[in-house]
Amino acid sequence: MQALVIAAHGSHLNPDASDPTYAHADTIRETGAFDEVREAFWKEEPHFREVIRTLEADEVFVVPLFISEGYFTEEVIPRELRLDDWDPEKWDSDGTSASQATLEADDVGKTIHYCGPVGTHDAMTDVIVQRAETATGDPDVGEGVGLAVVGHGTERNENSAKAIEYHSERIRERERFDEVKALFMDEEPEVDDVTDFFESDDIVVVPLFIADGYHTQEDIPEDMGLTEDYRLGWDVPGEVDGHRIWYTGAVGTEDLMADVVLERAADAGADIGDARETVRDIAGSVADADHEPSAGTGAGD
Amino acid sequence: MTIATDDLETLTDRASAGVAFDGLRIDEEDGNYVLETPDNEWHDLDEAALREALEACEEYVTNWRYWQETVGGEGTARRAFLRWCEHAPIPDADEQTTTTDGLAVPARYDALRDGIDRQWGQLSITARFVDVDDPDGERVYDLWHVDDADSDLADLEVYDDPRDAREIATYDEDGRYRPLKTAPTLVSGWAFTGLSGAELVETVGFLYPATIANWHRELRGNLDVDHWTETAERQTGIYDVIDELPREAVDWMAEACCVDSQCLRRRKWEYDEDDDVDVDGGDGPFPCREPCSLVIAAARKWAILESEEEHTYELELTTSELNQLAELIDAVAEGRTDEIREADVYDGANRYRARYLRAKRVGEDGLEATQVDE
Repeated sequence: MQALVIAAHGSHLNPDASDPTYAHADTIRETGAFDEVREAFWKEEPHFREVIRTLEADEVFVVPLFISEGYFTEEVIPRELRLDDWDPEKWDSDGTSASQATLEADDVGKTIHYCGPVGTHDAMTDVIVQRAETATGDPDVGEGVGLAVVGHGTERNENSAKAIEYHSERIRERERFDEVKALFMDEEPEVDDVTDFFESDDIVVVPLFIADGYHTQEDIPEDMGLTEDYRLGWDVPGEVDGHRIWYTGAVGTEDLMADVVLERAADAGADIGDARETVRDIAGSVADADHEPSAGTGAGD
Repeated sequence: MTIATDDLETLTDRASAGVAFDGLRIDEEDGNYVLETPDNEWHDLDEAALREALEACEEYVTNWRYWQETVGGEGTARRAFLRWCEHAPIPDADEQTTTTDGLAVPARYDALRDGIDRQWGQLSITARFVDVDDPDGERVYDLWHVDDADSDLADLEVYDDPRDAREIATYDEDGRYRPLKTAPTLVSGWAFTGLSGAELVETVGFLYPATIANWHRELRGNLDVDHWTETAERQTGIYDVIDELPREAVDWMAEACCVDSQCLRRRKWEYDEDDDVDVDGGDGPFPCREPCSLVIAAARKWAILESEEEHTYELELTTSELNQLAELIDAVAEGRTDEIREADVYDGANRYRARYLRAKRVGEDGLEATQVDE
């Protein structure tokens, strides 16, 4: 038997924070690839601390629903899962290349494959592109359009910015969009000045966040000048400095995220059969023919 | 009641290796079988005679089939919980002895015709036969809020997908978010009916996550309790400070957050192994094995607040006003403010009474008090 645990932050205050986690878990449940699929949280229940014991499977794949390698993925989650032999060195990562480490959970005697976060997986690039498609309603979006990938920045750790830059560069290499820029909330180049960085009239802005909340639904739309007050909402597209800004919300809510979770588990050795095809059917295809398959191409494989 | 031919075949196949389950015992001796139930014994049975004898103890046979073939999962929390649901004996970790006295098969079969009710926090669980008139041993489970025990099913929102339980668990009756799933604020008005055993366990898992696993560990004597000091010292980042919370504050915190009126888990963690928290741990069926994330988050606030020094203040209050402060604190602490009627000026926590006190005693900088110890 094999089980999948999706490890997310959750919230004590916001009931919607866990919605993407549940949605992606449900999509993967539909594929039947795992005997058990469980959501686990830092701020909700089941807590990281107690999730493994709720499973009957002896082999467990844990995929952190986090954007970057950092405090939560390298320290909090392994500690709370009781992965006593964990050391961030086991990921042998440059900040965006973690794949997985195989460990024992001390309290349950199970094999745990502790995977890198979804946010740095190569398949995440496709999700960002798909968000650009769903935000514009155009499956061929790209020509004549600029794409801004937005992250939090360095406030907590430098790997946060690395993940944003990594995917921006990968999308740039596909030459699908006229321009691709990595922008940040609390460091240069700042998302506040989004229109300064693009010549294209149309700019799709995709925030690389797991869940919608304060940053994606309040800060960013106000900072970009899309709206004076987030409570009033904003138009998609919205007009700013003569540009049209296509902005919806956190990329983590995109259906295709379930595919990234599956790929993380597959990279760690999970037998997922044709689950990826099922998920891509459910999530809708990514309409760019030139993208390379992600499995097996990521650094750290 | 009848036994399916398949079941008889499966059971006779297994008989050569020996069967011993819930009072049913089959052994092979020199090519012949011995069959025992608590009420009867048959010796020297050939295969045909064994089948005939099994027909005479069909309750034991269909019971064996349900637990060994349908439920399976020996040693799992899922199986133990389903056995708890119908008062069946639950095996110890060694699978040889039982931890709990349960009902024997005939008594359980009688009860399952009417349905066996158990309570799990605010949940009422009924185990019953799928087919009451001609039971073949297959059980199903119904689940609803204890407050709805006497409600007509037609008055309840009926579900059959365990995942629907997530939405039910998310908001209280006032529509407020429930960050603590085991808070005694689960809404009523819904029912899950005809769940399989696995679906029941999954549904309870969404309503009260990990409670079955921890209950099972406690039952087997291997619940891994992490006391306050261990849990606090483990924290990092912004929660690194919580191990500075004074000893007596941990008692106050447990009284604030962990008693039955706030959380249905039964607190098993203490200050440390040799130093008990001086507050009742509660009476619920499922244990709490370490301070939860809500307690950790609140402890951070209290650790910071408790780092402040105490002072002596002088302020003018009548005796009734002093008492009213206690009434206000009590009303908020008990979540009673919504119940106080608008014109009930006899209650110190009445809104007009509170506004009057504020108008009289609270200035722009808060309560008008003078620090006198400096």
